Formats: sequence, C-alpha cells, structure tokens
Amino acid sequence: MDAQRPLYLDYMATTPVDPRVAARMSECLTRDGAFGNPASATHTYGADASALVETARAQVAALVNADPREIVWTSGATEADNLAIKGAAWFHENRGRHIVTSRTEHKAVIDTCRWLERRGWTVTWLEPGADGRVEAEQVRDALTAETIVVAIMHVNNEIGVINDIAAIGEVCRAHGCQFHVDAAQSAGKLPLDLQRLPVDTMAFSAHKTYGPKGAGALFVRREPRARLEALIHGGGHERGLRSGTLATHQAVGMGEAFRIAAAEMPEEQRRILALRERFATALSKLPGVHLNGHPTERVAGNLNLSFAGVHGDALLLALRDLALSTGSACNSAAGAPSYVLRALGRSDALANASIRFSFGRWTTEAEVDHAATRVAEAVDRLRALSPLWGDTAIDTARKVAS
Amino acid sequence: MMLDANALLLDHFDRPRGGGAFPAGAPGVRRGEAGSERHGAMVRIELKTGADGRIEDSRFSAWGCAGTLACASLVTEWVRGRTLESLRTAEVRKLAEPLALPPERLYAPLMVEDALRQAARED
Ligand SMILES: Cc1ncc(COP(=O)(O)O)c(C=O)c1O
Repeated sequence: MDAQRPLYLDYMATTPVDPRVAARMSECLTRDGAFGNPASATHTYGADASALVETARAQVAALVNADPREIVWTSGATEADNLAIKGAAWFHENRGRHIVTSRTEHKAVIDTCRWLERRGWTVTWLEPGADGRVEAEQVRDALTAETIVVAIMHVNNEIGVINDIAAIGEVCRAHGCQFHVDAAQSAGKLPLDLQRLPVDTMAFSAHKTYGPKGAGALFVRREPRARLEALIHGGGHERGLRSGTLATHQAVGMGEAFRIAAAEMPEEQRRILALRERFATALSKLPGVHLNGHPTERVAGNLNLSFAGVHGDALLLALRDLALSTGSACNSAAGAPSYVLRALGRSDALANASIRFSFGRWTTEAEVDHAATRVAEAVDRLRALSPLWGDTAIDTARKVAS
Repeated sequence: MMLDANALLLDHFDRPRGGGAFPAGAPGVRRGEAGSERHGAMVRIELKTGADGRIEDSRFSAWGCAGTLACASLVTEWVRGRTLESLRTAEVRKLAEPLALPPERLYAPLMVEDALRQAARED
C-alpha cells in the first residue's frame, strides 16, 4: 500500500498502464524507435511502424477471436460507440430511422442516441429489470420495420452486470438490423468469441485493460458485413472508416495490453473474484447493505453497494483514503442520484448511497481487508448521525435495504 | 465529493460537534427539520433551552453531502447562549462562509437554516 496516495479501488474508471505495456509504447516514440508514419510506404521507418501497428491489430483481434481486418483503431470506446451508432444511422437512413438502446448505457451511447433523436431519429429507451439486465425479449418487443441499429452494452460500467449479448444478437439477426455492443468493460475480463457471437459492431477501450488512455477500437464485422458511414474524413485510413495518422504507440500499447489480457485472463479473473468475495464477506456483518445489480451475472472486479441511511457523497469524503466512485453524480443542486440506479428502481436515498468498488490487477488481500474495515467504520459513524437511520426511521431504512 | 474541502469543513466533518439527538422526552428540547430523502439531503436540529431561556445545548442529525453535516455541526456550537428569538432570523449562509462551500453546495446552509429557524419558532 502506498502511504501517500489513497488506496486505488476504482479500476472500472481506469487502470494504470501495465509496465510491460509502457515499455512497448516507449519503443515507438523517439528517434531510435519506430517513430515513422505507419502510412509511409517509401521507406523502412514507415514499414517498421506499420508492422507494429498490424501486430497490435492482430493482438486485439485475437483476444476477441475476430479477423484483424475487422478491427478499426479509434481514440477510445467513446469514438467507437459514436462511429458504430451514427455510422449505422447515417448509412441506413433511407431504410429506417429507429434505434433501440437502454437507459443504463454509458453516456457515450446515450448522448449519441439523444443527438440522433434531436435530428429526427426515433429511439426506444429500454428499462432494465431490477437486476440491471436488459432481456432479449424486451429488445424483440421494441423492434419495428424501421429499426436499423440496436445498442446494448455487454458489462455495465456502474453495476458490473452482464447482458446476454448472444441472445440479444440472435433477435437482431432474425430481424435484420445491426447490433452494436459496447464491450469497454468486458474485453479482457470475460471471454469474447466474435466468430460465434451474433454481434455486428463492438467497441473497445485500452485504458480499462491496463493500456493507455486515448486508444480504442471498433470491431466491424465483414461477414455478414456491417455497414457504416465514416465520421472522420481525410486520407482514407482504416479502410476509409477512420482517417488520421495512426498513433503507433497507442495501437502498440493497446495490442500489448490485450495480448497480456488474453494470456492472463482466466487466472487473473479467478484471483479478482476471490478478492471481491473476501470483501463482500467482510462487509456482510454490516446491516442495511444492498447489492446493486444481479448477484452472479456480474464481472468479477465490480461490487456496487448501497448503504441505507448513509449519503454517498459524505461516505466518499469519510473514505477519502480510498479512491472510489459513487453512483450519485453530486454536482447538481442536492446531488442527482445515479441514472443507472434510478433506472433499476432504487429509491433516491439508496441510489444516493451507492458506492462502486472495483478491483484489479494490483489489488491485494491486505488492501481489500483494510478497505472493508474502513468502510464499516465510516458507515457506522455516519449512520450514528443520520436521521434516516435513527429512531423510528431505522425500520424503514432496513426494510428498504433488504 | 469535495476534494477541495477546507480544513474547517474537514474538522467539522471528521469530528462533528453535537451529533445525535437528546434522549426522547428530555425537557426543554425543541426540534426543527428540513429537506427530505427525495431532495437528496435532510437535516434535523434540536435545541435545548436552559432556565434563562437561552440555548444551553444543541444536537443535529443529517443525511446529505459533507457540507450539510459540517454546517449542522457548526450551528450546534454557534447557538449556545443565544436566545430563541435571535435564532428566528439566524443566517446560516453567513455563518457557513468560512466553510467555503462551492456554489452548487449552497443549498446545504439554506437547509440547515430552515431547520434551525423551525426549531426556534414561536410555539
Ligand atoms: C461502458 C463504457 N463505454 C465507454 C467508455 C468510454 O471509453 P473511452 O474512455 O475509451 O472513450 C467507458 C469508460 O469510460 C465505459 O465504461
């Protein structure tokens, strides 16, 4: 543990770059390295950089069992989501203008769909069940003759629940519309086999998987072909889908990060799951703790808990020696509770009391034990001051929490 | 969260004065409340008057951002020795200035002010 800095338990916000990744990246920057423009066809500087980028592309493709030609580099999952959704909406605009997505998607999907909505597309916003999952039947019921793209994430970034993208994909295939999946939080954490999954486009981010920020990719299926209009023009890079000089170091970093993930995923996920269970067990003595999202269909590294009678903002400050995030984006008047938790039907009080704990590659047992002790102390202290946990309110708060 | 919380705020937040409630039915205790679960913050202030009619002691309970807790704590110290009448026009906004709350947190002193004025209201 680092005595100076808070204990990092926010691996779903971002991850530190793995030193093995940083080493590969730094080989692509300076004069003695592969600094050439990967598009330069007239000398070996270009060829060397291009070879590294293509190796990285193959590494990204390998993690998800795709063809390297199906991987388009982007600046991150946000851009990949934009390209997949706007790109499909524009390509198919004469065929139909209906999109299906969910209220619990990442803002990269939500804001993109809202933007299209303001420009005349119709969007169906599915409400997930109380377990946080969107079901294939909900998608089927929402499809119309006008539907051209469905966007449902694989793993939710706040509550960590896993959607059944195979089942949702089947529904989309049968209907003949494109299916986009935001896999920023699942690549490298869950097995993904795009040879078998009926998914047309899939967004990835490097920095959730120990790679650099500002790097990502979009999988664009070749057979049957996913059709997209480009958002960024100029130079025709990436088969015309995303122009701009490739960032060799970023691609190489993402490739190395995904290579490591492919090699270490089963063992690493087992270890992280054990840490999460250890943490949950340590906190199980505390009353009024509510798990947000499905109890088992969730990614190993995530635990999203609501503490009845305690405000998430105060709890975060009481726990400022831990780096965590809260579901409540407390920047409006009295703090707007998490839209994801509200969509799950949580009361405002419980949505406001939610904390996301996320564990990763460098989390240790000692850290998890320390964090659990600190959380229990802070919750007890704040509850002693809380009118929602005092006298008669205690029964209501407990009931809400159970 | 308030990463930029100043030392006074952290002091009141980490070591709140007057946290909790007087025993039920304690004589001379008056209570005021403001906010709600739905509003995302809530505070309760209790005032105990002595024989001379002045505030002898005070308690608070609060659910909300750290600023809410710190304001309420500050108030329980400040009210001591004051008259109920003077508290009916108390300006917690001014009192809370040293906490240097960011503009989006200024609902906190206003809510505490409502609870305090309500506790001090004429019966
Ligand atoms: C589910 C999900 N989608 C998209 C993003 C955005 O990714 P990026 O930061 O690479 O743009 C994130 C992370 O912030 C995420 O968790």
